[in-house]
Amino acid sequence: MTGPRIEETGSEETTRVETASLRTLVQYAGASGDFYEMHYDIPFAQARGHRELAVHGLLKTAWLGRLVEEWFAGRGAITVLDVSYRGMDFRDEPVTCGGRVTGRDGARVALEVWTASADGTRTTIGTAEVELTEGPV
Amino acid sequence: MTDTDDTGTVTGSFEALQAAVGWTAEQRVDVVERRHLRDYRRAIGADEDGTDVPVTITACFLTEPPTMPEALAYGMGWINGGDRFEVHRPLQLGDEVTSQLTFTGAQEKVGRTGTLALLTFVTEFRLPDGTLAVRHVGTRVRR
Repeated sequence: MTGPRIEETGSEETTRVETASLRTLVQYAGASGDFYEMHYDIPFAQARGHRELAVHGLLKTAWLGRLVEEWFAGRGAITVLDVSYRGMDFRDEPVTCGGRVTGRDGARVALEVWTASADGTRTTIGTAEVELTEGPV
Repeated sequence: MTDTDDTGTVTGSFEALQAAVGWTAEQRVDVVERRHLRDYRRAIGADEDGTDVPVTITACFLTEPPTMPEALAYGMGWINGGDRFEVHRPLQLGDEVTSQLTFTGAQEKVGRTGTLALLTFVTEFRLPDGTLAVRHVGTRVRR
């Protein structure tokens, strides 16, 4: 992953693949305090029509936040992260997390962010704003 | 309107949800603690020894899923519809934040799998001097 050349908005993007194991889901439940059974109790999830344990939406958002924070590390900070969940992702399945610079207004950089399941379906869509603390590199 | 689940059982009403707008959860006080930060960073795949506080850390200070009775009475379960984090002052290790979740709106829709309710919850996280640090808007779905 390299730093964005933000003067070329629209052409810079970064992606990373994350996979949540049962251990990941339990770790996230413990750290976040979200113990909704759909994320670790397979009979509970299946009784609600899900084929597998669902990845927490907020874990996917955390992955996106980390992606952007590490992308802009030392050069800026997220001021807004806004996502909408359009589909579920499930344990042990790869989730591609992506970010793309879409514009700049002064020190503020606008990004599109998303997650996609293995078949390419975008399961999370959203935007982020980064306030630069340094000029573009 | 009154909703029914897949077995025909009558569940909570949308009118009850609308009437509950303004409901607040109990106020809570949380501290960004080193051990908790390590656990959270590990859970999201970050270097657990790092001290930068992820933008989404306040997710840990939300009461999820919300405990609002009118929501629990509607439909069979929760789905997360969306999350928005507005950062006014980035949190740091050792920060104490006070917050209170407020139910701000409900919308009922008919989807492919039946009737569902979109619920909006807003939580402001303030520092001890009253400074707004983070505002979170969560869209939660009951169906």
